[in-house]
Amino acid sequence: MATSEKMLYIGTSVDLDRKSSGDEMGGLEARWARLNGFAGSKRSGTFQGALIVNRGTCASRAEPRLEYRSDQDRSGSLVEQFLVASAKRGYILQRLSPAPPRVKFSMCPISISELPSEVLEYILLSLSAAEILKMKEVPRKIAYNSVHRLTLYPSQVNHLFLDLVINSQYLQHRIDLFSAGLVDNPNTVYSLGERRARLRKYSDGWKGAESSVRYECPLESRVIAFESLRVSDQNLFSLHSDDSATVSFIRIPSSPKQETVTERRLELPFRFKSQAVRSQDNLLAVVEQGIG
Amino acid sequence: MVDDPTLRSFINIHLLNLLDGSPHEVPLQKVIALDLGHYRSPRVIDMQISDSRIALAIGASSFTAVRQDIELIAWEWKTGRVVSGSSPWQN
Repeated sequence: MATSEKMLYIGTSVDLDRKSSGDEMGGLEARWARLNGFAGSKRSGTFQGALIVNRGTCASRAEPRLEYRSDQDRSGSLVEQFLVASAKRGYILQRLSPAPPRVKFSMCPISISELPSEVLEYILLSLSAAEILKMKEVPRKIAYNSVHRLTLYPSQVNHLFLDLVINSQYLQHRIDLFSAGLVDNPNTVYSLGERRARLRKYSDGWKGAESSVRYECPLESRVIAFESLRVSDQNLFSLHSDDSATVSFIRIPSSPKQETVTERRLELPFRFKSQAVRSQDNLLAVVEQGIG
Repeated sequence: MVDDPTLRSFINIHLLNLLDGSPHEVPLQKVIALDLGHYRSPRVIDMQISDSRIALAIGASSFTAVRQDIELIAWEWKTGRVVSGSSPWQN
């Protein structure tokens, strides 16, 4: 019987004697594939069971005889559907051999602390930065001690996750990005170390911000209040003093090599309180003082 | 709050040419007299100009109340049309 066995894998081409049952088998095969979600022949490898066609039996009887072997019980339900479908069409199926011992996929008995840190890190990377930061927080519990005094004491913190977050460059980078209000460029070509260095340089630049170019401009007019300084576009600063009717415009060059600082004064026929400038429209708006 | 017509406050806003201080050639109203109604001693806290609007934040106390208000006024400086009325809130 073994010599006449012909393996028929669901979804693959069927090596049958088309003269006797080729069309019928092709229809059954397609139906079985539809029932079990194997629409394409390339997915046939995922099915653990195999249908076996005994050609000798087919030849000795008037109708084709199909037999199946199931490699796993898990696929038994799939084969059952095939049995039902084929029985309706008059086919006889037999089990060739008992199913092999069942492979059990039970819950893994190890604890989470026994997992490799790389696995835990990979899992934690699916969290947002805010959620990762919560692992570093030490929540405080409020309780009354023995003498009924309110005390605050730190509750337990998960040191496993805490150490993982502290020591993981990937998790720290995610937190640092969150702190800086940035996101990683998904198309970056830089390594994690380079990205971390660039982010550190960016953040440090804001911490100790210093002007790269410094101008000292001796003013003719007396500036008495900082709030009278207005920064307009095109590097134009406008100043005015509260006790006069003079507004000064100082234009800062965009590059130190291009031009020098220029100041221009404008005397107004009235005293004013506040002013605003829009140089594109050549507009100066001032609020006249003393009305009201 | 009593709106007494005899108690009014005004501020004048001059729209000038930045180069020489002459009246600006574009605005329809060269001097905007802003009626602040019942506010006493109004002061301009901030004034900003955009490409179409001038916005003022005015802080003042009322003639008839002790509270301090901040009022926001904006208008299109090319047409003189007020685009947002007063929005006072208690400070």
